[in-house]
Amino acid sequence: MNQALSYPLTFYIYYWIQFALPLFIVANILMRTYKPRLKESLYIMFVTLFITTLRTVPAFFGIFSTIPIPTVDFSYDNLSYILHRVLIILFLFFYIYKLKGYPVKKAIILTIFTDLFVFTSYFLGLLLRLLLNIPATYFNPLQPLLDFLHAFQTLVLSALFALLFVKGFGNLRKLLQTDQHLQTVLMIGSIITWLSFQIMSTLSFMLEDGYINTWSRALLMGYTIVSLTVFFLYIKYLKAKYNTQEKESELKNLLFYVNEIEQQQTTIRKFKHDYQNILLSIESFFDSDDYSGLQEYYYNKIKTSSQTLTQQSFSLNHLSKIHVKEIKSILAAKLIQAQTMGIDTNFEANEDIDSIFTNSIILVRILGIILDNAIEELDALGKGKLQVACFKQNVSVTFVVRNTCRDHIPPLHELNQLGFSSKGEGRGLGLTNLADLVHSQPNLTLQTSLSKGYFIQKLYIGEL
Amino acid sequence: MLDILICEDDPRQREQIQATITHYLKKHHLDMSLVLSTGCPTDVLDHLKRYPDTNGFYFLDVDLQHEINGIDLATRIKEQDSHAKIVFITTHDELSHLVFKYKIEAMDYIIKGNKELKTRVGECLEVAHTRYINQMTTLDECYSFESAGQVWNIPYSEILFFETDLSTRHRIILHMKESQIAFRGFIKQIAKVNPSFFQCHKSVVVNTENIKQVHKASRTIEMINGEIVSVSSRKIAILIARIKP
Repeated sequence: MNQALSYPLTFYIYYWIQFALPLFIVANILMRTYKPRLKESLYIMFVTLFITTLRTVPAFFGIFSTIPIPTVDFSYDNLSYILHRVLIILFLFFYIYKLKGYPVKKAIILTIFTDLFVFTSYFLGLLLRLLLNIPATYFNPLQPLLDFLHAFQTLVLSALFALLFVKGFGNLRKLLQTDQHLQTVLMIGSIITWLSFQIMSTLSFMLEDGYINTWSRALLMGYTIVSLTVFFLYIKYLKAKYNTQEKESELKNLLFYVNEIEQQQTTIRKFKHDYQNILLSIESFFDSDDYSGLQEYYYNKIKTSSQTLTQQSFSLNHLSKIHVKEIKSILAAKLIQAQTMGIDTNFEANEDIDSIFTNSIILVRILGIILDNAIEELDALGKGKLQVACFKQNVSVTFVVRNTCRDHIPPLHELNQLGFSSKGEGRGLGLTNLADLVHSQPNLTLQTSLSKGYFIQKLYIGEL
Repeated sequence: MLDILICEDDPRQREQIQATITHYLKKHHLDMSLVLSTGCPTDVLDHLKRYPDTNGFYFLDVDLQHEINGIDLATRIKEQDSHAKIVFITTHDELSHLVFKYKIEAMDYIIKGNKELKTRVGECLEVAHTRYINQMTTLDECYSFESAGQVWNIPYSEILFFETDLSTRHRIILHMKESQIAFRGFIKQIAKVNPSFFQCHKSVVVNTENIKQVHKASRTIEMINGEIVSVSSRKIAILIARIKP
């Protein structure tokens, strides 16, 4: 009979606190869901107790050789170790993916991060023991107490890590939401880190003398910390690159806009010149009392020139009312693009818009998708109007984008189906993506309408 | 009685509109009267302060040569007189379709310098009159919810069904006849709001008023716009019993 088995119940609880419970607590912190729900709590209790039972109970009956001290060769115990690890990871993934409703990529990232946090905390405890020179053997009478201390340390430390991570990398979350590429990079990176960690850990578990030589574990932990650091530096670099790209495109769009304004200036200068000439001519008609000549002059010259004044070139005038740079930039880019494509484009803003209470990266992407869809539809149609407006209602800001659409456009509920596109496969993800982006911000509401030949998207941005 | 108010800073155009309206009212005997014709927006606001119960029909110039422009004025009028019917008078240059329609919910707009001014004013008066009559007989009841810090009122007759978004919890998509909107909420609570609402599925509350047909075999409901909603097996008998009488 092994020493460890002299306290089966405490060992059971120890194992539960050390290896099963922290995973779910950390996962919930990472997902920022602090309020427990009954169904989820039941699932967590069931899964953690099941895994703990699977791992510990056979040992009580001596089915596997030992629990804490593994044998050197690849025995049942190692098999049981790998089996329970795989199972609990799967259960955790299922919890995040199904019960919490996260998309696959994000669920994988969350699962792996959770596991890494818990295991790093666990190894930190081992390292601490090593540094304090407390022999980690099962012949120590204080062993149960030490184990419990270690278990609580894992629980608290991993929760603390997760909290710090959530606080420190809050903007990483926002970036992840907007960038599919970054999601993939993060997923692959974390899988590689995690797998190498798992392999090394299992190997050391099998080859070393378990708890007795913990230096290899310390090395392993060092490896994890280093790889995680490298990994985060890389993400930071990616983020910086992303930011510069954003700024560059913003600048490019604004240059576009400045160009447009300069052209308008020229038109106005020309008009001013014409206007002075017109006044002089009228005066000469008056001087000679030539009223019929004046009449003819008015209808032929003045009326036509006033018509050109009201046309196109001034339809984006109101963009000057938008004082939020990023928003002005995306609107200018898309509206000028539409105009150069020959689409009848108009922008309305009667009030100054100084601030918008939302993440501007997300708002830019949302407006980009909405305007792209409208332009694409109008381009395919070959006629029609694009009208965009921005206005305030109390404190909230509303964007309205309205475009003419085909006569035989499918009903709205079919357009909104996942992945549907009227233009063939793979191009309809815009609308679904749009809904996710809108939902990622608590104060955004999107209303989509199809009415009297117009497709209308209204985006409301409320107070935070 | 519907009160007509005009706010136009150019005296000549004001007189023209005024004359058109009085002429039209005399000829067609509509239940309306011209109570104010002014060039200054503050006069309109003062009038509303003095007569807060005004049920008004407003002709507003957009550019009033005043710190309050026509759109601001309309916003303030709406705060006082929520059923205000507003028609903007504007030049082609200042035309803001979407702001008129979606911010102010203006009834219509008339473009200045248009030769059809008379007929357009007449049309607006007709429409306003009909709306006024309807408003008296049926005050449409609305479903209200809050989203993005705003209160939304959707007439029950517009509502087809509510469904929870399967990908994200607590997000409800409201399907209306011509549009869709998503907001945060709980489907169970919605079912209790109105007697014509019925929870036909764990994630769907349907407005029984707007059902076209119930297909018992496939356990689905066809809504009046052709959308298909599924019904759980336990609820189908209850649903059929409910919509039968």
